[in-house]
Amino acid sequence: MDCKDIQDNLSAFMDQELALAAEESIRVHLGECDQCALQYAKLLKGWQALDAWDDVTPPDRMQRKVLDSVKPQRHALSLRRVLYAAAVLLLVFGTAVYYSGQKERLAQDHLAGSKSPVQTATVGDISEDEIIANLLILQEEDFFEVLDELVKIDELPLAEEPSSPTKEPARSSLDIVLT
Amino acid sequence: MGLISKGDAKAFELLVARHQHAVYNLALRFLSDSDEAEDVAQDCFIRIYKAAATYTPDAKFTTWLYTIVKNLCFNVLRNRRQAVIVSVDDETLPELPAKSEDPVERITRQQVREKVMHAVSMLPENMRLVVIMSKFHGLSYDEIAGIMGCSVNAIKLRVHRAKAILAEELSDLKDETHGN
Amino acid sequence: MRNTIVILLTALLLLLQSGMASGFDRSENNRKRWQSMSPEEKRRVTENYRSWKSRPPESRERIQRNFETYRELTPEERQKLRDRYRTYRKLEPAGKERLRERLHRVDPHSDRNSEEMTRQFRRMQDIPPEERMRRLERSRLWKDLNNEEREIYKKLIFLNK
Repeated sequence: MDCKDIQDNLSAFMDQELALAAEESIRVHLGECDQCALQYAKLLKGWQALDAWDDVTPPDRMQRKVLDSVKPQRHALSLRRVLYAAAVLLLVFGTAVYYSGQKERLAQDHLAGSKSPVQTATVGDISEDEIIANLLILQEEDFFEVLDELVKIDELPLAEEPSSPTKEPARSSLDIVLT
Repeated sequence: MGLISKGDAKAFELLVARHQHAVYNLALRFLSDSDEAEDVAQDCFIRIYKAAATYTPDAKFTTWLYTIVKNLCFNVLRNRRQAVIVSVDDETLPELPAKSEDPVERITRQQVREKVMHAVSMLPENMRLVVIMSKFHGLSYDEIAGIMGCSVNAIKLRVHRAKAILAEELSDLKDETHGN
Repeated sequence: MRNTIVILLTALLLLLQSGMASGFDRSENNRKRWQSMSPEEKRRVTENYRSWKSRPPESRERIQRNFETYRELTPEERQKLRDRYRTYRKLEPAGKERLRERLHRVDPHSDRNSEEMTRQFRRMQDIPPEERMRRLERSRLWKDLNNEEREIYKKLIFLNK
């Protein structure tokens, strides 16, 4: 094996993936060739340096959050049934009340002789067009909400300048810094 | 998993306790963001809980677990990219700012760690994930290949290339620590 | 005189056209983006829309103004703010509230328009971060910060060095 073959196999050599014979010939070569030995040392050092990147203990809240978030699902079926039944009841009851009220109103209107246009209620509060028009903001609403604060952070060092006897507006103290 | 699918809360709690450290650290090293890592870890366990009933043990549990983490991590990266594409005309993400380097500055373990983190973060995404799984999670190339959905040789190649890149990136580390 | 009027009218027409076209392109892009979103993303955006609708008008105006400011920034400046946001998110809610209060002290008139905001941001970039940090460390507010907050504040100021 020449130096190029050796260097191509150094990583496999590190992982002890090579056959015994190949491993032995690399070992012998490294004992004789400074350049390849240097390259090997460099590879080994880079890989071993990763050990400095310690593990981090996950925050305590993480496990609690996971367990909490699956808890309701365990009761989800029965809860869902109850909610479903409640929704159906509400719908039936609501429709009945609405129609009886409507009938009454129509009767009253009839009595009063007025023309009663039946108002169509707009159902739902979602307008897709409005979402699309504001899509960029909505995708990152949290970011845009605080953007002015992020801009102002540079001025933070001026937040509590040693108090001066005269109350100057912050803008002018900023101007002093800038001049 | 069988117990979890039958709604055994204790079994699920045990599973989370056993694997949360690995899941969180894999996501944290890969994404370099503790909030996102926490979200990934939570989503991962919730997915496991939901999928427990349909889980068929044709692969090792950890392979399945790490595959979920990998997918979630890539989702995060995709969302990040979208956010950048949406809002920044120029897609190129800036490099991390170069750290001020003072030759007489003491190189602490923390600084070595930062250099390592920076070097790993410079690796291409697929290579980075493979390095993290191999180096920090001790997964075999076979297992990583199963998680990444590619051949063992492709994984070996990625690791070998990563080693060469890291060797270059971290080559000055020793000299600096000697100056300490 | 007549020529001037013709030129002005043509310019106005072109301006209107380009404005309309860019507006059209933007809404078309938004539509495409919306259509390509996964159900999960659509759900998230729709949730944001609900919270957006429930905000008081002044809060919506503020977000809108911030968005306009953002659009005026260069990609590098935008990236600076994005990087800063990633650090900012690490503050606990109480820490965020304290930061907000301190920022309010810097500028109690928080209704800067987007042009002023952009100008201010650019002016501040001219002060070296070291100088900003030095001033911060001398200030009284530095004494109230806990170690974690100090680290975050440092990062917020030095991040874009």
